[in-house]
Amino acid sequence: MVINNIKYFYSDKKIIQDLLSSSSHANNLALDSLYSRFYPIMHKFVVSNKGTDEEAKDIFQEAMIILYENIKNGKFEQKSSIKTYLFSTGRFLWLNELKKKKKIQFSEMDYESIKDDSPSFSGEPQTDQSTMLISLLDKMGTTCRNILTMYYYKKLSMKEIALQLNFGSPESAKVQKNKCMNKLKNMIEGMNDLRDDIISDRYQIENI
Amino acid sequence: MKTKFDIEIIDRYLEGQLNAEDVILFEEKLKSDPEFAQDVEIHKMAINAIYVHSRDELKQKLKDIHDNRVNRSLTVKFPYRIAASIAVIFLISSVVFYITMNRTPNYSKLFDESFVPYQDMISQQSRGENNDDKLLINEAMKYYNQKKFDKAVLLFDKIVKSKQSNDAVIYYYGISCLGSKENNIAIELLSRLSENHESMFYEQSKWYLALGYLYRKDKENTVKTLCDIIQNKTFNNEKANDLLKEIE
Repeated sequence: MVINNIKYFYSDKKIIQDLLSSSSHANNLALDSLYSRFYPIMHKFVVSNKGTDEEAKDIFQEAMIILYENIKNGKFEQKSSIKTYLFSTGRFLWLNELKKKKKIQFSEMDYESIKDDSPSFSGEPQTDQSTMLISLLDKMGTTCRNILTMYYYKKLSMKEIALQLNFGSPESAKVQKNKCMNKLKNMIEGMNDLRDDIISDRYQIENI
Repeated sequence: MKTKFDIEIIDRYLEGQLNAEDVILFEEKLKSDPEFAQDVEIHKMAINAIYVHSRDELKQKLKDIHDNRVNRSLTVKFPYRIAASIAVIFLISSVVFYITMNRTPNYSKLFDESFVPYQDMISQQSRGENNDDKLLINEAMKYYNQKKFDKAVLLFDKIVKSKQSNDAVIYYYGISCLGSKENNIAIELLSRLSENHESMFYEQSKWYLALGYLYRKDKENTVKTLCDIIQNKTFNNEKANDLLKEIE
């Protein structure tokens, strides 16, 4: 991915606009700008708080993902600036990490106050899915994968999806989305059935 | 391909877009119909899988940005391309500036090269007479010959004020003014002479007038006067030609 124009003078408003846009080019520019502007501060924070370069990278990227998803799902209310939001998210993530590692002891009160500043993680889907489930998406065609990503993750409107993927109308895009979703569900069901069969077979074998 | 339950309804329910009545109906069905409940579970799993997959794509994108932007010393990469373009623009404009500055003729330099005070032709005449003015003229010309133009100017001024001046006095007064950089007076004096064909140093005054305009950096008038000299082939017309080439 080559990014040529670095807009160093992006306002928060423009960033959000570009992230919400259906154009992946606009998305990429916004992400690049955020990365260039805010990575250094985050890195400095993590490293000066017992972190490694690698950990700084992970924390920052995690904070970026949270920001992105919260902008998409409307949870980012623009009460604070993106800078503040990113930084406080990152700070929370890192301090949490340190707590897990038991590298620092801090009082319950500290923890609570930090938690209030950070975005809520409720509603975030569990990430401990079997990799097999995720690989189902790779097995689907590109169109289905794109429609589902745009609808469920990027939360674009049917109209925008229709435009991006060259559907005749939003209605036909919707029909396709439903078809793709059914396909995915069937694949999951099939996978579950297979797993059930394997388990029951093993049971039978063990009982012989 | 099985299409048991309406995808739209489930989506709307999960997005919180069903009205209150429909929410109640939906939740009742969840309790009463195990197949439906199962389907909704799978629906959630599907959304989860999409989420995780898309998030992995985003992670990959961020990783690419990181590799592009953050170099080994962990500072954000300097935008070299932009800096290079700015440097090139700056370089080009300074070169252009330099060239245009050099193309503009250096008027002061040209003046200094061209200005040669006209030979003294009037001092001799006043020898032997005991007249105040003629003494003054001698004094003035003495300074003139010594190239002490500012002193000459003062004396010439006196002569003029005592109303004893003639064309010759005006002429050497004008040249002295040029020499002492009293440019505007020089131009005034020399113009008077060059307007009158009958005046004694008519041709020569034109040349010095041109020099006066030159010193003033008045390109238009310099060129005009020089062209006049060249066309009429008057005093110093060859030098005028050379000078004209320097200016244009």
